Amino acid sequence: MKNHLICFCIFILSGCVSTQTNNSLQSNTDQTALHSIQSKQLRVLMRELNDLMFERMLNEIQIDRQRRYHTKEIVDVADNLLHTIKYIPNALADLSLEKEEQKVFLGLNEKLKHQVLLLKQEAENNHVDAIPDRADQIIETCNACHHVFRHSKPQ
Amino acid sequence: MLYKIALFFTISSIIVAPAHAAEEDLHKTVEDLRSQVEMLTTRLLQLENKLNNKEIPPNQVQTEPQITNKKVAVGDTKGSIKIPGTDTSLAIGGYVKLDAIYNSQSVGGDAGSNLGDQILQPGSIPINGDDKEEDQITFHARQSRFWLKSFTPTDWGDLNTYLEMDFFAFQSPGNERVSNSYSPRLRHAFGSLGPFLAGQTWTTFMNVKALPELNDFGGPVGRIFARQPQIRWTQQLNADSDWMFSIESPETTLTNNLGNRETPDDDQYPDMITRLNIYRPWGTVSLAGMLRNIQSNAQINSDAFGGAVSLAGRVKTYERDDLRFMLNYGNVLGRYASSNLFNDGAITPEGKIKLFDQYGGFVAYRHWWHDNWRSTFAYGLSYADNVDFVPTTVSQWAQSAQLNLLWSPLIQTTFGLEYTYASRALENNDSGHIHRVQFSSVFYF
Repeated sequence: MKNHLICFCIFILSGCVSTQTNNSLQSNTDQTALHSIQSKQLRVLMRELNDLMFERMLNEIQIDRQRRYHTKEIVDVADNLLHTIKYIPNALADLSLEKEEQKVFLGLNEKLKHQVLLLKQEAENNHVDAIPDRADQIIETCNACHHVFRHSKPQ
Repeated sequence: MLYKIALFFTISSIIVAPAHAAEEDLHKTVEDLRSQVEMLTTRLLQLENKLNNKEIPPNQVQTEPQITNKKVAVGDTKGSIKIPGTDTSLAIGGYVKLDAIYNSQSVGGDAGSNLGDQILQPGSIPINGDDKEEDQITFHARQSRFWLKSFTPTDWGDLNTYLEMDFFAFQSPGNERVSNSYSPRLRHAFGSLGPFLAGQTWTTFMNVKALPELNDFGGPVGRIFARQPQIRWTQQLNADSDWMFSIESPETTLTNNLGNRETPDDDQYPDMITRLNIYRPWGTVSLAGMLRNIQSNAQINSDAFGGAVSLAGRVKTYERDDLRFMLNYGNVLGRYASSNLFNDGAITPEGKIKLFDQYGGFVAYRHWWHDNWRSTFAYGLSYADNVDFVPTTVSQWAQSAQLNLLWSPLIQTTFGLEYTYASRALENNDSGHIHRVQFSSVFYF
């Protein structure tokens, strides 16, 4: 039960990534007592990608190299997230969810997995412009799970 | 229980389903969700198929359907588009920057000759207020910048080309009376194929990542700073380090027996530079070495070999903050350090070139107050152990301290206010200083 609860908490928190301007995430993560390592790493990487915009001395080729360095790290973090997401359905048995709630839960799980897969794919292909929007989508999925399950079910 | 169900469907309908679905019945909601799960499962299977087989049947997976359906495709670098029918990604960009500056002392002269009023030039700091032009205001937008880049993946490695210009051309100063016209100047023009680079860009002796984020375009004192034509090889040693070697355009600057600068342009050997870069999660550090031949064959016939080293880096500290530094030493730092505050060598009364030791460096700390607010404090110093025979009117040392507050309400804009104190002293102990307050606004495109 304890392990499943931890898995559930990781699920709730693992998708919580932030960009510099995402206020919706801020309001949610501030309420949490725990943060997964992956979400922290992803949040830092997204911020470092943004901060490259403020580099006035590096030329664009040098900045592109920095971006590629960060996108490689995002691929690693996405891999870790996918590994974590794989175990989320295991938590269902101990969450006392109604049948329809389980479907929503699993639907969100699949959606999150799908979005992280796309994030990984975009990072691998160095589609830097697509990454912030994808991260926002992951945040929305995470927040949806927060709203539906975190406040209505005992943990 | 009824309360929980009502809460559940109210909130889930807001988040997962369209807003008007909140009032629909349970059956329709379940059907919608089932349909969504089926769609996502299908989508997931397609992606897994792609990941496993690395081949996907055409028209099954489109990660950017809104783009791929059009003739212009997204490029392989940020903000770029692909030239149709090629693998080349092309992008343009730059920024528009305004600087509004108050100087407690002006270097004198009008637009074009008063560069020291617009950027910190340590050698232009007035001595004893000798220009008597106090409390001067100047505005300019000369740092505004435009760049064009291309990226093409090849079997030989990445093929990059890059062109960048701004409006700090020294040769064509505009006037401030009517039009404030300034010509563009070349900053970068280089190409690279894999580890090979040729063209004009930052000298290999300089670690650009170590430079602090300042409104001022010239500071801090003590920094290595030069762009010049070069041929460079970058050898990747492992994932966390690389080694560079370059030969770069030489240029000798000498102090004559009147204390004035000479640039004989008689160089016969390129400047040879090597640099080791180490990248770690905590930051980056580099160690660079340089070998130069200082030469003059016009009024005198003499040359001398000398060397210099530079240790530089950027280290992450607390949360988002970082510490940046650069420490330089050598007897041919000359034009590479502090905007050529000191020359590469001096001409002896016998007509020979004599090199002399120079030291310099800076340390800068950037602190983030909030997501969009940050400050940098930087202090820099340069010192020359001048030879005895040069006139005492040559510079002996200079220093600067800068503190700013920058705000980026959007990632494409930065507004900032910066205070600068800088001073310079001569061999005869005469000295001068300036106070500067600079407002800057930057709009990226």
